[in-house]
Parts: sequence; structure tokens; C-alpha cells
Amino acid sequence: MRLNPSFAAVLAALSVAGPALAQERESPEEARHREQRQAAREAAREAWDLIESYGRVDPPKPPKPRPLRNDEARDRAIDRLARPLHPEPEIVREAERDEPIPFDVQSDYEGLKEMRRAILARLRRLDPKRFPLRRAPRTKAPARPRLKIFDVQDLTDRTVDYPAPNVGLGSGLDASGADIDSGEDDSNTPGVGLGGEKLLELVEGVCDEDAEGSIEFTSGRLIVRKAPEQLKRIEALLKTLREGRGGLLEIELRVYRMPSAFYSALNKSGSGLSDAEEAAIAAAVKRGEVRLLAAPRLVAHDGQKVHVRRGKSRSIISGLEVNQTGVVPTLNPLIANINEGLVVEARPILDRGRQLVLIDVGLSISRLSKSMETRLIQGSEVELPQMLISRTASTGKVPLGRGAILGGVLAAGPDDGRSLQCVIYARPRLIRARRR
Amino acid sequence: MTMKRLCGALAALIALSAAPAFAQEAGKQSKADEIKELQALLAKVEKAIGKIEPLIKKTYVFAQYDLRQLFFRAPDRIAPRLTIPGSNAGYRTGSGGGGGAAGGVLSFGDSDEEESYEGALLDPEKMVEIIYAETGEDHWESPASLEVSNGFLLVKQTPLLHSKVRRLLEDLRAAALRSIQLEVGFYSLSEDLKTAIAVESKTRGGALSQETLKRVDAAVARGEAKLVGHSLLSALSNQRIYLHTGAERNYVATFEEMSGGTGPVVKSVAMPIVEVLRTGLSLDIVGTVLEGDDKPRVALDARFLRSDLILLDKRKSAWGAIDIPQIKVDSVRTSARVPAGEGMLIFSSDKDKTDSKETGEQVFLIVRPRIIKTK
Repeated sequence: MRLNPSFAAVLAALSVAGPALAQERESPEEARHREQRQAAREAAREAWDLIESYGRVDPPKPPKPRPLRNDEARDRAIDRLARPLHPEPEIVREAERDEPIPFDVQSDYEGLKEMRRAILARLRRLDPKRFPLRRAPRTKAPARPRLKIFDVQDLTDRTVDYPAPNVGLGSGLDASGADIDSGEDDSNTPGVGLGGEKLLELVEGVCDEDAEGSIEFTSGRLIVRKAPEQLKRIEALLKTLREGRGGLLEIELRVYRMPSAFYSALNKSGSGLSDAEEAAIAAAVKRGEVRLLAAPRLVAHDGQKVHVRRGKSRSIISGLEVNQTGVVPTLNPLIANINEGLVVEARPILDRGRQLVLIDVGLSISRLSKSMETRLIQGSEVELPQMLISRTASTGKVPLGRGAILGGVLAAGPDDGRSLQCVIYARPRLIRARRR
Repeated sequence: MTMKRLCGALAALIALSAAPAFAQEAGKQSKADEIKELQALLAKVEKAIGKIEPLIKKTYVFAQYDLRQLFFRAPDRIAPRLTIPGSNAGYRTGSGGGGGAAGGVLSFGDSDEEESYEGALLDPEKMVEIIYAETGEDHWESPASLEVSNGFLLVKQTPLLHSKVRRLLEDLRAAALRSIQLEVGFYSLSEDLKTAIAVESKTRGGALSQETLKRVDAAVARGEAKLVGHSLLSALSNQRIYLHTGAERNYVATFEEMSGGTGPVVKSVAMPIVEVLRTGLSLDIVGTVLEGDDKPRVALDARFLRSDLILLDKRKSAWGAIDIPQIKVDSVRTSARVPAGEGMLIFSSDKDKTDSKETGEQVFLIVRPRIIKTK
């Protein structure tokens, strides 16, 4: 299994250059946090310096002691004699002078709160009338819960994929043909639906745990009985969820027969066609150099697989199958449907941040030959069709509102009207539903 | 808190809690001075507490990040086989005469063995692990939360951690935003161009320079070379894409007899096995963007197959005619690393001289990859 090498490269770059990168690429929140921390550190340092200077003030001298008896005086003399000769000078290492005072946020916070309590207590003792006991603010009685019903079907409904029908000739038994994407499982998630259970979990997450009331989800609706403040939080959450999801994508698809020389002359920036390139294609269509074969429009939910088809379908006797349910085996004719014409299947995925749409598109264009061999086998006429077919699939990123040529077969020769060469053009547009 | 600061705090506490007797003895003036000093001290302490509190008391904000394009598993599309359906007779070239599926120095891989390519950059579980590793697991205890749901990253965190998550996602998106456009050209070239391309391709591991490509384009413009076919494919890095153009036809490949019955009543029937014969040309290709110190390159892994129907003969059988197709096949499976803006010669065929007469058209298949960087 081959893995994308870019993933390892990105992780390696982040781990090695992390700190340097962090400094250079500071986000506004990180800058704000750094400034907040710096301001808190400075304020704490000033407070502690003042506290320490308050603590170093010599206390008032105690009153003169009454005259001692001789025994006490002798005891005090012994104590004084036992004291160290030279008080040790405070040795401050050079390094300590330059070391920044560590800033332990939690510890300084607790320490300063303790100091504040002590200062207030002292002020109260000094002047009780002027500095009365601070009472804790009265907590308001909790507001009564109110009932509100939110319609959240746009968030919880999951869209269904609509894959294109089979095209081409398959095995003789079922003539199911080959899918546009060759039968590979497509594990991408359809649509952007949250699911009722997940939404309920998120809503409960923004409410206070001990808040009175209830929240239920049923049939695409949130039935909430909570205090107004909790309801506001839920509304804000739903707004956030909706802004990042929802909306429909309209994809204007065009299938052109485009000469190679014309395509080579386009500038091909790669990120959508410019206005000049769009005008050049329109002019070429007008003068007949480029032929517009089909121009369907598809509307899809973000992430939904949809398709458009234009052509014919017919049944043929594609073979015979054995029925052994009875005593003796019997042969029955096998009927298959063959689809021909143009089939386009697309899945758009919108990146709102970058205004880009990733479009995964498959195209097939096919035509049955007019002459079909018919063969008499075991008493039944089995039909053996022939078909001309072109298939391709592409995945590309197209800027929202701009068009891009995603892929196809360009016309290398003159247009004889029978060729199946064509290229796909796509232009996605976001349609937002207005909410009442 | 340092020892020095602790001592200072203790000294202040002791001073504050000391009996007011000394203050009263000093007189009203010193009491007023002390109150003034304490008020100034209280103002400083409350200012410091006000600055520290936002760092202590965290507010949590919910946000969702759309990561579907990061998790998008680009479907790998494999071109249909353009060979006669059924198993091959004989044994694999280079494996020796002892039979067996594989072996020998030269082993041409079975085209049915497909490698699995990872189209997506990473999966949801990996994403969560990366975020924990980059931001620190300690920050994700309740009420913070992080999970991936249906391609969206749902995060409840402080604004600071949200900014770190956003920055990480930007880095991952930058790697995922690359896509590739492949121009595939089928050319019929003049002798001197053929020679130049053959020599350059051999010396540069299949890659063709921009100058050579310009020579080819100029020759086509002048009519000295012919562009037989031209197609365009768009894909994400590391995604397999394909094109197929040609014809399909049903034919009776064989019959399968089945019988049944009891006693004297026994009947045999023959079921026709109808297969599909596909001819034309098919190309499937994987392009992977390689960002190096110098010019970025594209690693191409290509499989090209061209088949033409020579004859669809008929043979009699006990139950009816069986079709026997005969096709001419050219196929190649190859890889190269091509600098962006240059080309790769995938396939070239000269006139077929293995038969007694020369047949076939000379075709050069050149692929030009272009890296598309979306802003």
C-alpha cells in the first residue's frame, strides 16, 4: 500500500521547526494570549513588590520593658553572647539577579487572593465603619424554563447518492456493463447531515449540566425546555452549524467537442478559466470552431453524488440462461438493457473557507452500431451488439463561480460528426436557501 | 513562588495580622497613613488579580471545521481490460518451463494485481491523534472536546487552542490542495524527432524536456508531425484516473452444457457464454506530486494498452457457432519521475516487422503533467 508522502513531510516539518515557526506565524489569538500573560505577569510583579516592601517596614518599637531582675538580665546576656558574630551578608549570585522571576499563574493567583483577604481584614479592623464586611452578591433566582421547538431537518437529514446507470456492454448474462468508475467502492460520505443523535449531543454540550429543563429530538425537530440563557446558547450553536453546512450547489456542466489546437491556445492557469478564456470559448462556439454537445445543469447537496443522462435505452436478447428448477433443464432467453448516449455523474464537495469545489466527475459517451448481429442459438435469436464508447473520469478543484475544463478527449482530427471525442467543462455555484 | 517572595508575603501577612495596638499607639495620623498605604496595596493586588483571572478562568467556544476534502478518498479508477477475456495459456515469460504462477528473474506482473493507492491524506482517527500531539493532551479534558463526525471536526475549546488547531489544519490543507492535470498526446512523428525523443528518453529515465516538447508542438503546427489523439485528465495527487476510447462488442465465447432429468427422461441443454470484447485504447495513470528541495516533480505510474481487432472468426460446435477473436495488442506498464512542466514518453511503437509484412501505425504516447496549486 502506497501512502501519500506529503503527510510525513508535513509532520516532520512541524516537529522540527515548531518553535521557530510558532514565533513567526503567531495567530491573533496567540498574540493576544501572549500579551495578556505579559500584562498579568507585570501586574503580579508590581503587586508582589509592593507587598514585599510593605512587609519590610520596621514595626513600631515595642514599649520599654520594665526593669529586669538580675537573673533575667544574666539570661539575656547569655543569649546575646550566643548570637552569631557577623550577620551573613546576603549573597546574591550574579546569575540570580538576571534570572527572570518565574510566573506561576495558579500559584500567584492563589497567593494574591490570600493577600487581598488579609488586606481587607486589616482595613476592617482599622476602620470597621468605612470598610464593612463585603457581602457576597445575591444570586438571582434561576429563570423559569421556556418551551421552544427548533426545526433542524436541514442539519439532520442525510442526503442520498444517485449514481449513474450502467453504460456499455457487460457479460452476456446480465449485460450490466461497466460502471463509470469501474466498480470501485466509493467510501466518501454523502452530504453534510449531522444525524439527530449527534446534534442532540452537541446541544446538550453547550447547556449547563445542572440547568433545569429537557431537550429531545424527534422527527427532525429539537424540543427544548430550558431557561432563556440556555436557549440563546442553543440558537448560537445551530447558527454556527448552519453556517458551515447546508446550501445547494448548482453545477453548470458543458460537454464540448474542442479541437486540440484551440485547447493548446488557452492560457490554462489551472485554477479555473479566466474571463478572457471563457469569452474565447464562447466566441469559438459561435463561429463553429468548438461545438457544444450538451449543457445540462445539475443541482446537488454538498457532497451528494448526482447524475444526468441523455440518450437511448433498448432491450436485447443478450443470451440464454438455464433453469434447473424442474426435472429437466430448460433454456430461457435472457433480456438485458443497453444504455447509450451521454451520461455524466458528479459529486461536488464544497470548501467554504477557500471558496473551492472539489468535483469528482465521470463521463461516458456511447453509440450502438446500426448493424447488430443476430444469431439463432438453441431456437432463440440472440443479439450480439457492437458499440463505440469513450469513458473518462476526473477529479479537480474549481473555484466557486468559475468554470474549468476537467478532462476528456480532445478532437485531434476533423469533425466528421461521428466521433465520440468530448471534454467536460464544469462551473459550480452555491445556492443558499433563505431562512425565515 | 520563590523563597524570597514567600518570605516577603509572610512578612506582609504577619504585619497585617499583627495587633493594631502598635498602630493605635502611634496615633491617628499613622492610622490614616496605614489605611492609605493599604488602599494603594489593595488596588495593586486587585489589578493583578484582574489581569490573571482571564488566564485562569477559561471560556470554551464551539466551532466546526470542514475537513471533507482532507478525508476525501479519491476513488481509484482502473481502465477496462482490452484483452480477450479468459485465462492465458502457457506460462509467464521469464518464469522458466516448470510452470507455476510466479518466479524467475524477469517476471512481468499480472495486470490483475492492482496496487491500492491511498487517495486521502489521512483518516479521522489519525487527525485526532495529530491534534492531541500538537496541542498537548492535557488541554482536552472536560469541558473541552474533540471529535470527527461525517467529515467535520467538532471542537469545543478556548480561543487560543482553536487558533492552534486552525494553524495545523492550514498546514495539512496546503499539502492536500495539490492536484495534477495530465495532457496525453498520441503522435505520429518524423524520423529525426523520433530519434531525438528516443535518445532523450533513454538518458533521462523516460522524461522529455520542455525544449523537446516545444519541438514536437512546432512540428505538429507545421504539419511535419501528426497529433493522432489528445486527451486531458485531472486528478488529485496520488489518485488513479483513466480514459478508454474504442469499441465493445458481444460475442459467443463458448457453450456450457448442462443436463438433468430422472429415469428415462434426461435432457441436455447448452447455455451460450457471451463475453464482451473491448478494443481501442485505454490509459490509466497515477500521478503523485513530489515536493523536493529543487523543482517539484511528478511521479507517474502509467499503464497503456492498445488493441485492434484483426479478425472475428467462427468455429462450429455441437451447439452452434463459437466466435474466435484475434486482436493485435500493444501494452506497456511503466513509471518515471518527471519535473513539473516537462513530459514523459510512455509508449512508442515502430512498424510491426514480426510478421512477414509491416503493419500498424507508428505512435508515440507522451504525457505532460502539470501541478495545479490552488490558493
